[in-house]
Amino acid sequence: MATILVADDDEMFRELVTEILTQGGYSVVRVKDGAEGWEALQKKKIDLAVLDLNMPNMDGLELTRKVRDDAKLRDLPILMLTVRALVEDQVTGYERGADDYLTKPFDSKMLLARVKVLARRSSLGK
Amino acid sequence: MSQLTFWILGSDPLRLRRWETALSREGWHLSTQARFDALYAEVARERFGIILLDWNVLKQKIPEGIRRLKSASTGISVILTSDSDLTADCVIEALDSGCDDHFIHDIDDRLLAAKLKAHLRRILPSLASALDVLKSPGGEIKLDRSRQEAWVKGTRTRWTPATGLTPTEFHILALFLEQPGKVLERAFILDAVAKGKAVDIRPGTVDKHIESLRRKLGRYASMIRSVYGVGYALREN
Repeated sequence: MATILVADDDEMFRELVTEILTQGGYSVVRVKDGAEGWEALQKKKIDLAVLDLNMPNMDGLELTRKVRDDAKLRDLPILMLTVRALVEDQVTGYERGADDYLTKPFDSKMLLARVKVLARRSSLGK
Repeated sequence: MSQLTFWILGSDPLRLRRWETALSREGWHLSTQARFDALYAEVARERFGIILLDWNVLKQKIPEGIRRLKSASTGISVILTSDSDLTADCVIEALDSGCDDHFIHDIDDRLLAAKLKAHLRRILPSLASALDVLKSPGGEIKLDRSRQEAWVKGTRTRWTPATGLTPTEFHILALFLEQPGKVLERAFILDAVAKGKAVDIRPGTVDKHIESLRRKLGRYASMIRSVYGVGYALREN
């Protein structure tokens, strides 16, 4: 079973995303900011990350940059989940290394379908 | 061929022109098609590429089209494009059929380029390694540029290292494997290996390198064919 890191400081969204992914058959590691996310990535085997953009301590963009700069983690598929829908923000997200972008509010089936695509693509690349 | 192509299948000439302009700006190789069959024939000949597939061309047949394209070649990303009113269920069905992404037709040009670059990041490592590894068409000789090593097919289909190749011989072997069957003139070979280096350019230099290379290819020495008065070529079978 693939393990997904869910990083979001908004508890309600964190729980919602966790529930959707768990029902989709994934195992979930929940954290409330980027710093905790970075720690989890060091300790646990994570296959994919769903990150909120705005978080205290370390935001989603900074965490993405750190992952892409890390020799062991750089291929981790990252999906950004955020309320920010501005083109500039999305472009920045992709440029920093995000693989996909979904804006809140989102359709739960769409989240699962997008996660499945990223999981499929990364397993093909191995 | 191991180049990367962007294909755009679409029916709206104005939009196609806009995307062509945006993608050309990035220096990418583009091919525009209006018919699925023509697109499929091209894709089946390539190993790597990104396809922008317009929902309006295939409509309900999109999932089937995606499955066909994905099975035609392994290094292909398929991205569905549509008007903004396509239902989430249709998008999800496409994603579940093997589609890699979806965006709407009036996507901002900068976002389009950023998204495609994200797809490229995923494809490029396998493209790079494919470009590093060269093989003769009959599978007798193999070379890996990143490791600077070459092998010949031994008995029982095992690869045996072609030992003792000098950097110049390695370079010449790569030239042959890049263009099997093509006659490479002595002057061309000399030019290619001499790039930026001071080398001995006496007549017969190339012949000496070839003679030595053939010796090191052992049972496949005759794969490098002499073309009298011109140069050499790699046999295609």
